[in-house]
Amino acid sequence: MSHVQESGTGARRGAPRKRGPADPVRALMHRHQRLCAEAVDPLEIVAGLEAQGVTDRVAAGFRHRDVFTLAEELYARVPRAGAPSAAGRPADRPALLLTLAPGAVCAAASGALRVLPSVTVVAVAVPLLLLTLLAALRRGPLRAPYGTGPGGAVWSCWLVVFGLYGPRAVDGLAGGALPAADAAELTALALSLAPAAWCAHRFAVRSRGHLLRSRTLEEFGGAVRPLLAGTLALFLACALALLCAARAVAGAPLTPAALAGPAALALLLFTARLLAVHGHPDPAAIGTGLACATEAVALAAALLDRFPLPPGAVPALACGAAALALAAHALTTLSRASAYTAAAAPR
Amino acid sequence: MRIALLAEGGYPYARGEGGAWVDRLVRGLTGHEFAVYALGRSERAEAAGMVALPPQVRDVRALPLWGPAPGAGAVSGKARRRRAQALEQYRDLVGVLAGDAGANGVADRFASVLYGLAELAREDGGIPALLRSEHAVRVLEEVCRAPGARPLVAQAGVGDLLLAADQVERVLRPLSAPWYDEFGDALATADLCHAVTGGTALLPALLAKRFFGTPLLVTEYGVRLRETLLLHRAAGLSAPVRALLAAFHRHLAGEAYRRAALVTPGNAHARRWQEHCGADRERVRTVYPGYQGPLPEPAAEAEGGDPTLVWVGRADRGKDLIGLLHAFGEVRKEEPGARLRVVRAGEGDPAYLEQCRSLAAQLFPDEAADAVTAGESPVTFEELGSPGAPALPDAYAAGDVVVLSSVVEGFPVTLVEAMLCGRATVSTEAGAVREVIGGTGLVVPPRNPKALAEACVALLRDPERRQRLGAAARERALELFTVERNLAAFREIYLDLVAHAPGRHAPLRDPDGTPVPFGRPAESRVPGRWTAAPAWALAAREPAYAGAERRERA
Repeated sequence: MSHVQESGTGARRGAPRKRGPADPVRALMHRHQRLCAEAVDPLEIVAGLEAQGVTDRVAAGFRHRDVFTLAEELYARVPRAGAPSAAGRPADRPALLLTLAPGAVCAAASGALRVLPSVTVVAVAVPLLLLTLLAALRRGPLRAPYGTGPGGAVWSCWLVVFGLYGPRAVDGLAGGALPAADAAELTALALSLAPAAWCAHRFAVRSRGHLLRSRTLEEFGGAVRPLLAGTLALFLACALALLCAARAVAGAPLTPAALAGPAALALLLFTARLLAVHGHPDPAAIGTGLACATEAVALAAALLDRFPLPPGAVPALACGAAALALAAHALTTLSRASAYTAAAAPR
Repeated sequence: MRIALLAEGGYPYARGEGGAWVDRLVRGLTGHEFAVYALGRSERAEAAGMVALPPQVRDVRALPLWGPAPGAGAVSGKARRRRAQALEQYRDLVGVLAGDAGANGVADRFASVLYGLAELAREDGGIPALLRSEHAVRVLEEVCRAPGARPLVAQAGVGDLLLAADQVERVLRPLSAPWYDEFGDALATADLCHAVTGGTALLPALLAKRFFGTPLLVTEYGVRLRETLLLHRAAGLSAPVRALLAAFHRHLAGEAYRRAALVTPGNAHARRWQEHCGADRERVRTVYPGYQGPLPEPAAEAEGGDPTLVWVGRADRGKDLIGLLHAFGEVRKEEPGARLRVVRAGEGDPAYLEQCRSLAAQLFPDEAADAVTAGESPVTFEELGSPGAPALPDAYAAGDVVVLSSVVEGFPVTLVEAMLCGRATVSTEAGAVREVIGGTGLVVPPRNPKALAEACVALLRDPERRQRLGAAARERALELFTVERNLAAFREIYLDLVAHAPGRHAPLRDPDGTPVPFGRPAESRVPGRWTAAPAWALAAREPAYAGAERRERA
């Protein structure tokens, strides 16, 4: 028993009878112009048509066996539109307050040192500094989605601590309260997080622009290499300016020997972070680890009383050499497109 | 027997669609052991956890397709050679994807390259990292710039190349899963691979077929290829990336449909897609999804009252409620006392619903029986669970005829519900409506309010026909769309496929060396664990009288 009512195939009473072109598919092409022009496969048109209620019965009205053959005709007849390039994910913006927080903590601590006992200040400032540092590195352009490599965080902490206490330890002096010059150095290093975030952001935005514009991998590499060198130089300049300012405020002398160590350290940490951010945490950890090893050897040599160099030169040499090596490595690895896969992925 | 269930997204994760029927399947087929191979599509879905698994699920192995590629591992000289080979296979694979999909023999070339890559990935865990490396991006660039590439692909920029390499690595990641060890306890031990979704879940199943000869069953209630194409478009992927991925998914689905021992679509729509993509008509069998939830009782015909039409469902554009309202206007011309109840079940499109409400208010002003009572509109909008329609059977019982006015429809669950409630229905021909209703209700073309109205009036005026159709609809639904029916179909399919699969163990031979037919019957794999017979079976092996005789002799 079939109660199915078929719709009349001929002209129905009361139904509008449109006059149109002899080619019925043309109207369909016009109606689904965008769907057809942007399709990369006839099946995509089938899926789109079906979502709009086009069934085999409708396709039969266009003298087609089914929707598949109708879609194939549409795909063949509508010219493909020039496809827009992959939009990609917009670069993370740095949070200004967050990147300034560690510097602010250091500046406040070095001010408080003049009125409060140093033990109290250190006990409060060090955990606060670590917390703000973690918060600043967890998001924004300095976030390393693949981690910092084996021991990366440990090496960085060691490098900073050695930068502060190392020369005097090598000198054989016992540590007392922090002298003003060291606090200024630490403050400048902490403050340089803000230009680091900004430089990383600038690098991310521009490299992404090259990613969208470049046609070939060669072209992309050629555009990114000078951008990276410029970014590193820009950051070094910012770090040096901050160091000079901090020492001037603290009233310490501005000698090249005093500036070289912290500046090399800042550059090393920035380069390592940039590598880690773009998916190469291992070389970053190796670079910082090697600098640590050099410093440890220097310390051991000092204990054995056979140290040929002036103690202030140790961090400058260790960090400078490591920074240069890492920068050279970054110029090759970060000029490869595969370092920017995450930036190419859509939201 | 041991069934490997392969799924991409959905089961066994709590979040994600399509998991419910697999859960019912696993719980319903208690005689078998299941091992679930889950390919995770997103971190969010995996973080939401898994559904509670019944004891017959012995094993769950997950492989995330999101996140960074598995580690590169140490690169020895042998591994380096292997990776160079893998890059060559990758070059051929993307060459197939970038080339003309309609070319001769392209499906075979896709298959041979895919299996070649799979053999290398089986031995080397570092292939995913390799496919994300600069080498792979360079290979992709060369292929896209080569003369054979489609113009769509040739216009890819660096961003497109990167994204394409990334996405291709993700869909190929199942090749590197640690499931293909010949002496391991993963896919090598499965008697049957049941891919409960399409997509990348087909890859491990195809490899099991290739490496171990395990028969493959593909079930799709929604065609994954179609969903993937729509998803890529919605995600805003650029044309070159979409072209490469669409080619991959199309070839993969085609290869799986061709290799599968049986393809079971959930409705004729899925079946058409599968046949179009290469499934052999003789190895396709439609298995309808079972109706989830308790079976509703047949709803009693309301005595007296105005003739009433009922629509139940989620209000959105595809349901064409506006067309229904216009049709109802036509019905009112013939049957002035007719009423329409629109019962919402679940969230829909609130803006669309509001539009329908205001249209209903314009078309059908409030009416009252006399000058002293308050008026009421003949069209009422209610929500399932409200006093007027507390449960589904009540909602259907409230009307004489159930109407479905959809323009776009997948598998119409509300229609099945109406059938189970024994209601006569009028529906538009969309999606799987015609095959669900069979001859037990009226079907009219979509976007034709007049035809819809005529069919409704015909049923409203003929209570005897209504009752006859309703009873037939309930019979049909109970016959076709119950969970038991679905389970029985799969139980039978499992046995059938395993019985037809060539045994991996050497066949029993008679003294002449010819294989004995039925040397390993399907039943040998059925009852739970073959190795450990239950205690009652051991006790029953000896007939009772034998024990008595022994006692007598003693």
